[in-house]
Amino acid sequence: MGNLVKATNGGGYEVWSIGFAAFSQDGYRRSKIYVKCKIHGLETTEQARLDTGSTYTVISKEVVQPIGHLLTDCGEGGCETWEGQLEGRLVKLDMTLIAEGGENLVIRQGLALVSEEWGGPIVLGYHGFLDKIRIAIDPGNKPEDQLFYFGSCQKEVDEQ
Amino acid sequence: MEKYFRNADRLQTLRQECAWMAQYFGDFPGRGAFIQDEGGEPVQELIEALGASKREGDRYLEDLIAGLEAEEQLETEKKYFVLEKQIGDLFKNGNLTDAKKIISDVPVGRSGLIDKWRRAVTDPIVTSGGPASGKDFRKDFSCIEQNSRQYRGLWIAVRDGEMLGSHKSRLALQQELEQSGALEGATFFKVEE
Repeated sequence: MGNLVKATNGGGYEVWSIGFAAFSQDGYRRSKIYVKCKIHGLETTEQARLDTGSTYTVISKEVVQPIGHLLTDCGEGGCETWEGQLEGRLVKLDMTLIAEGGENLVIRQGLALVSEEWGGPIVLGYHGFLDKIRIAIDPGNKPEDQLFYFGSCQKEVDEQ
Repeated sequence: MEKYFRNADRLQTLRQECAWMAQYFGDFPGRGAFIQDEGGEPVQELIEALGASKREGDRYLEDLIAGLEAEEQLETEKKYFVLEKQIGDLFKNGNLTDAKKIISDVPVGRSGLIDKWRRAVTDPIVTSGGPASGKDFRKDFSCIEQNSRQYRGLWIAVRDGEMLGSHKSRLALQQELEQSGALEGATFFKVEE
């Protein structure tokens, strides 16, 4: 196992992802993908749902309650969910996608909606988070081969 | 001060006000000259043209301009109030693309609220977080998958494929594990209903 590479016009290759890890699916429906991440400031590791269909990264308020002082408040926000309108505060926080191989990926000042109303798992959503990183899913031939690849599309990291 | 004289509407307002003042104070020597002035440039000359009371003229103009500035300020506040409402609605509906467009047209420092939202649409910085631990996640995943039916609606914590605990409250579970010294290396997950 290794990182993904992209063929370039000149006939060479460039590294596309910097890290990879297995992902999980819900044992019940097996229609959702979960990955491991860490919210900076918390001692714990989180298993979060990867959801490009979610407008924001959504975190229930009690998860980030101990690190309220590390969050940058960005005003009120909300989004539609299948349960209806969800309201909360938009915040900026640092998060790391944890790799099994390669390197971990840090998203500094990623956008998240912190909501008291949210009763689900942490959701890694689109705006200000997934739309700023590279991700790829390899379903593998069997569940044990499933891999989640991630990387940065920002030049500075590609050059590291 | 002169900016108000370069604006036709403002000049008109000033002219009406001065005409009223001239009428009130009687015949000023420069009244005709003032009313005919279309360029609106030389404030000093206009005040002098009013003649007799330069001090009163100055004070009058200062008051007048302060009033005009307050009016302008009010207009600006109204404009930003409308924009704040508009951007707020877009954020509540998750329409960041349109919100970002509007925010980019508003100069920094004009509205505290809009500046807060400006932070929200600023791109994150993505960097390497150092080498992977090489730890195998599958044990935890398999443990969570196996237990997800049983613990629906609860927070659970696992480590190295072992269930550490479950609770309705995330904070309570965290506290429980902390007290028993089992928090380190734990992965938390809220099992969906």
